[in-house]
Amino acid sequence: METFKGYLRSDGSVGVRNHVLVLPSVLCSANVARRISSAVPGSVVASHNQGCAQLGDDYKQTRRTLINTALNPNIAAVLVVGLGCERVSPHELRDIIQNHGKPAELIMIQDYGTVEAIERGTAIVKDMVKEASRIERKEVPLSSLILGMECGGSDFSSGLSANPVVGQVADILAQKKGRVILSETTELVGAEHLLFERMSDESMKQRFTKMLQRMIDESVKNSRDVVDKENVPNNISPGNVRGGLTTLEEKSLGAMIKGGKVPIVGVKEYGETVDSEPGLYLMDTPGYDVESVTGMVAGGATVVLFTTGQGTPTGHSIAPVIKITGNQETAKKMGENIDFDCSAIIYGEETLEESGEKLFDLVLRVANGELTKAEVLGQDDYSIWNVGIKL
Amino acid sequence: MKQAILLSVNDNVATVLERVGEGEEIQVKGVSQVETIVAKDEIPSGHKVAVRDIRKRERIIKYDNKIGVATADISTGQHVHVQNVVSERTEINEGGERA
Repeated sequence: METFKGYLRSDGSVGVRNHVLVLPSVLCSANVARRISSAVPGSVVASHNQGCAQLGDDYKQTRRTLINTALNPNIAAVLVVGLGCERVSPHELRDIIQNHGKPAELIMIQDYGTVEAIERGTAIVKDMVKEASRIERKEVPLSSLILGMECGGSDFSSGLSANPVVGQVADILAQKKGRVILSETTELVGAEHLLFERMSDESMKQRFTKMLQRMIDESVKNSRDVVDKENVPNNISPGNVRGGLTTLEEKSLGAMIKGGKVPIVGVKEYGETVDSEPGLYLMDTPGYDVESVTGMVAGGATVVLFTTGQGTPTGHSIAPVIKITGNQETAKKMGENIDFDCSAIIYGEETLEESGEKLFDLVLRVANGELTKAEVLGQDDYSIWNVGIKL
Repeated sequence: MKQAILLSVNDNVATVLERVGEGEEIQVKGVSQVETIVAKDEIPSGHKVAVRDIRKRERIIKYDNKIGVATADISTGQHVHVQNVVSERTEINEGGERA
């Protein structure tokens, strides 16, 4: 059996990192949470601007994402930092995390004020980091890996090399009974017929169609604008257009390849936990990179494969983000941000299969503890997709 | 000679791998036999060139799939991009109708 060394959690899930998480329940407690985390190396913070004045689906999505972020297997223990009057209940967050068997504590700013809340929180996190450091990596099967597939700053090279290479990794992991998440609903518009073919379940198709329609409806409202004096489509970025992408359909056909040929076993809401069944899960997220990655990480992704044509520094506070480019120029200009260069495929100097195996090897090294460039550079992005108007 | 990649025999556009100047020859490689076309526009690196004549309202095909609709007649060797293509799924023509 092929294995890697990961952190086996009490619920049977496996992390590739062993972070202590400082989790603000609301924007109002995010500053204190950041200051607690910065005082204790070894902790991470999921700083966000949601948590209050939200209703209905928007509130539910924020709550679900915060809970599931804390339950990601890369997290060893959690300090929830609450304000006291917010809509997302910090007490409930702590209780739910504890009920899943994960150590969790709570500090409320309205009980102490800023200075004492930081002092008390820092003392708690310091002990949690010490305790977490005693957990050792153990040999675990590759089937326990959950990969999130993302693309950002796409250009012509993404669909020709980086995305197909990531698709190879999806296929390799699927053979080993692992799980893969493909997100960015907008960037599946125009490629849905190719995904429908891989769904066995009619209700799955219906949910997926509804997800797509929401993004199409939003797109149609504002189809084009003048940006830098050029009339460009709004549902792809000006950088996509400069990089040679013309329409959303073209971008989508290049993007959906990140899921390889893996059978689709689930369609998930934003931040919803994936099931135990191996295969590919589609998650409803925007194409906005950090929000999409946060959704997949809340869904359980422990490693993120992020392709980029034009280059981006994006990382994540909870999961290592491996950045992959098929653009030779980007690999040169942004070498400090790029973990894997697969431009050789475009020039016929390497096959897709060869590159896929090399990338899978890098994924395993990262799962075993090798740091990604985004981790080394402290790129701790985190952002929750907000789907309603705040009151 | 400058090069372009054709991804499927049914595609009517190919991707150029470096900037091509107007009047320069482009070798189109990939799934079909190598053919040479002449660029009728300047084409930036990574952008698409028409490998055959495309009529207004005809679909643009890449990856063996439709990626949009031509809003003008496009002849072989022309730059195919946002100035002469719209999304069939999400864009609306200037006349207000769905492309």
